[in-house]
Amino acid sequence: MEARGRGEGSNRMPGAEFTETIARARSGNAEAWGELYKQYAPAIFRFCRRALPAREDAEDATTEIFMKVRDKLGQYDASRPFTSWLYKVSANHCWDILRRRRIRQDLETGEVETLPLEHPDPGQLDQLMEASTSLQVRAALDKLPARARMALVLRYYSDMSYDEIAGALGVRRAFVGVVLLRARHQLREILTGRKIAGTKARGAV
Amino acid sequence: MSHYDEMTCLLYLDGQLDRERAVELSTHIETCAECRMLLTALESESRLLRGALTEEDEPVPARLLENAPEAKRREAAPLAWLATLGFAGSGAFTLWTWFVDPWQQQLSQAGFGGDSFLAMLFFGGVFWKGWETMVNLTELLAAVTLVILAVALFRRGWRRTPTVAVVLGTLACLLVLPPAASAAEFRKQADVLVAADEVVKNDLIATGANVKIEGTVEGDLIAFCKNLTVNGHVTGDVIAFAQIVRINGTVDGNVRSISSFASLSGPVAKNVTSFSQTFELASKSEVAGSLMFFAAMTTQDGRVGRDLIGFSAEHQLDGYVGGNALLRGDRLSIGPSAQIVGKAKFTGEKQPSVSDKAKLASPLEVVIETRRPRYASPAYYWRQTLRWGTAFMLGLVVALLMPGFLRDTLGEGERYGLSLGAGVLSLIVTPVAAVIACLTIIGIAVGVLSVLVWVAMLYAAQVFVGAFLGQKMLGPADSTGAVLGRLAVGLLVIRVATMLPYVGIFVWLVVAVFGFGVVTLAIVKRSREEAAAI
Repeated sequence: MEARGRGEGSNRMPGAEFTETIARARSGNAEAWGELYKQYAPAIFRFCRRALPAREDAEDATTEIFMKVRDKLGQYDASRPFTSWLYKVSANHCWDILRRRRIRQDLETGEVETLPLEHPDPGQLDQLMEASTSLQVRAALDKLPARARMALVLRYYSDMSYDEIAGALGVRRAFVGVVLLRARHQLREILTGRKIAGTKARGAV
Repeated sequence: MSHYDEMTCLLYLDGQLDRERAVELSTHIETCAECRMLLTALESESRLLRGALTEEDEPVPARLLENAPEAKRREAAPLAWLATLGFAGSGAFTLWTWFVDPWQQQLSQAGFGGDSFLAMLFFGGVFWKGWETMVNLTELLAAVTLVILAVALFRRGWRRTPTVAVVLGTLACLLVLPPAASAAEFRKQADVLVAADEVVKNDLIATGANVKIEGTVEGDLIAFCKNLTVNGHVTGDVIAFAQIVRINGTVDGNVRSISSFASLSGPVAKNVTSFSQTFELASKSEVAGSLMFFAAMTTQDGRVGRDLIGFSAEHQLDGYVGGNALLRGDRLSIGPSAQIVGKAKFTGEKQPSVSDKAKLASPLEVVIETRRPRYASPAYYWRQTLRWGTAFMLGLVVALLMPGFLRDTLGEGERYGLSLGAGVLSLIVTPVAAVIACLTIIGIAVGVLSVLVWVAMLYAAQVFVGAFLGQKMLGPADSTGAVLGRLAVGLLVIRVATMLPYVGIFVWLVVAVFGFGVVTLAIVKRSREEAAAI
């Protein structure tokens, strides 16, 4: 829990000092910009690493995101948390990359509205969660369709609100929950597929 | 009592339910074990997800931590840009001083009068002796760099049709305008005939199966046809794209022909240029200027007033040459009635046969060339090393300027079959499309441009294949340095493979096809992404 994406930055720098750093970076101070970068680059890299399929994509995206941030720093509203703005920019950038690749990898395998409504057995679900490791979950995440994975990353890595997620993914606010729940179902399918069937690994698409 | 569904439970956990329902639910779970369990399970799922996502399972690449990136492009990688501009500048300078300028001089000496760049490109360039040095390293690199720079500069605006139109339009004007100032008469029918008593007082552009000139054309004759026969009189140039070209009449200008068979038996007041399978200069023919030809078989009985420059697999020379004769090919046979006033030089594979009775001002200079690579000579390896270096430098430019594109091509390379298919297609389709474009006059600029790009691509193919091969051998790269290292290794493998006897040419072909394929696919992918993003 201590390594939560959003918390990472803001916890380290006291408020006033941080505001000053941002102001200096805004006015073009290279040193302040360097400081900001050093502080947030790891978190943004990890974010990209989770959101994008390949490591090289994540590296490039990180650089590109910070180029954008440097460009748009003037537009940042200082009354709101810096990290949430940063994640918003990052989410838009990554989603843009994924959206452009839609030709080959289907972003969604069906309508957002359709939801597998079979009610899970709470006991079984709990067992599955107990038995799954982080590593397995990450492997399963990699197999999810882009939208599902992106939604989970935005929610559980970046701690974004439903509103922010709706904005980043371009879905209606009311459907964010549906997207998230659907993503969980797909993830469970992959996890159980691996555990129970063993040999029969189920692809996500 | 009914239970809450999973969706509501999730929304509750995420604090998304309105107050009233949230209270309702929290009261419910106090008594309902099943719903409570579901909530717990969902919560532990959230925890698991959060843990899995935020766990620092791999280090942040050092490359990222080194330097904070500057604002977009403005100051990014100024060195790469400077280097490229330097290359481009020296490339342009080299092109001009080494190629364009001497061309013009040489052409005007040969009576070609540098009327337009296009004429030079088409009718002069191929015969220019310096072509061999063109393959020479840095010049080519500089030229290719120039093209890449142009692409990089125009990439933004490229999508917008007006930009394309302006660029191509300007090019077209540049290329075509000077000679085509006057309007021409255009005739298109199955058989175009200018009858014996007819006078066309203009340039004539004729297309059809058969074009026959019995009368007079007071201007240039440009013909696209199957058979072209000129029995009459053309006061300007004859430019012919035809299967069979026969010129028995009089031409006051130049004759330029691209054909399968070309035969000249009338007087030509200026120069003759011919690309053909078989070329014949009959004994009645008299070319006042110089004669240049590219042919598989050539017989020459007629007179050539000035120089003779020819590439012909087999050449039978029985006529008169007023200037120097510079010949290249497999075999040359100089008959008893031949006369060469200037110097004569032959470069080829076999010793030429020269009749004792032939009148040569000076003995024929003969250079016998063997085509095999000389594996024993160190110079051969030195040249291969230089070639490897050149390809690597081009790769460097590509990797620095278009890293994303290079990566796209690597991705496409994984789809071998598709890449090879697309490669074969674009390798063949591009020149065909270019020829078709050229046939429509206006499309000439586009045609020439695409041929130039095609040639550059033929060379650049190895870079993309090299990068792909390197990656296959050493695994995915995680930094620009690693990409370049893999590129170097891949290019080395290709270079060595193409040096192999017999297999080499096949390797080269595969590299060209595959390289073309991945680039085509990457471009297609990009353009579709652009379309999707709009």
